Amino acid sequence: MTEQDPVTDQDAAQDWVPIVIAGELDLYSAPDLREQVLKAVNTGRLHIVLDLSDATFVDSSGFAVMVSAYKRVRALDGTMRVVCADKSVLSALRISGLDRVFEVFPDMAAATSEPPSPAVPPAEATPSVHADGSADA
Amino acid sequence: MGRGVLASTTMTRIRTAIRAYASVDATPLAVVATLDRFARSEAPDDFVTLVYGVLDTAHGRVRLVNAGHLPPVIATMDGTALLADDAASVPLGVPGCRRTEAELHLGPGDALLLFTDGLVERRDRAIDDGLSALLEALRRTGAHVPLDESLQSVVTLMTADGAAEDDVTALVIRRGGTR
Repeated sequence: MTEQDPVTDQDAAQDWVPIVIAGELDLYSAPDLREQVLKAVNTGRLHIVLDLSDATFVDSSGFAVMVSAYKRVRALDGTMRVVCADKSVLSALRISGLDRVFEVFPDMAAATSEPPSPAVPPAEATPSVHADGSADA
Repeated sequence: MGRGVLASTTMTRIRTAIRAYASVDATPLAVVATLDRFARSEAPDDFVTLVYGVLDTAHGRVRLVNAGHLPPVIATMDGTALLADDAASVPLGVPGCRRTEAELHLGPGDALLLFTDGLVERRDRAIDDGLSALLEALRRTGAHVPLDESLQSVVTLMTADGAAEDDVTALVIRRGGTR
């Protein structure tokens, strides 16, 4: 959207919603993130950027909420991106395989440089085995 | 998977599902593919990671799939320890990622360690550093002490800092015999 555009609910729904997570995302702070995601989704804002720039630690409770948010917005043709540059958090994402699920960007500018486009619908949930022996999750 | 009553209920359901599916077709890709479907329909908001493997005791071969879990570690008879991280994929039920199966080989005297994040995860330390510390603990412990002592020693070394907050589960198997 450009500055000339009138800001309407419709425009807002088509724009990125940043959700900032600072410090530790764990069993204690994860419910707060869940609330923020639900609030965005319930108001029709389905393009979420989770900003982990100031996050220092994410445990499995945090990843659980991130995955849950991702599934929720995907199911509604929304998108979710993650901003993260912290080495520890990036390692944790990689070890849990989630760096292949989320689109991860080094900063907010990179994550929001283009307007959201509707997500490609997820592949149907029937796992198929490929010729090389691998299978879809 | 988290902690508490809900997490343990989910774990029980998943474990029962694994046993049931494995009785039909025990191969790792088949079991985990079916578990993915189960997790999507029966536990859509749960976050479950696991390593599922099949051990061929005659040849020391392990075929496994890793669904978002910390990598298993192989500690060999000659004192090296390395991460088996070449079959990493996403947690159960997460769409859009291809799963692959890894095949590991255990020589006589080699050990395979599986563990939960409580063993290596600390708030003030990168997970990679935790994994390095685990490999070092395995090297220091060596392959020549009895298996129960070896596991106890590794867990003691890893939790000596008193900073562990999560519960710790660790499972180790060692192939018998010497080279």
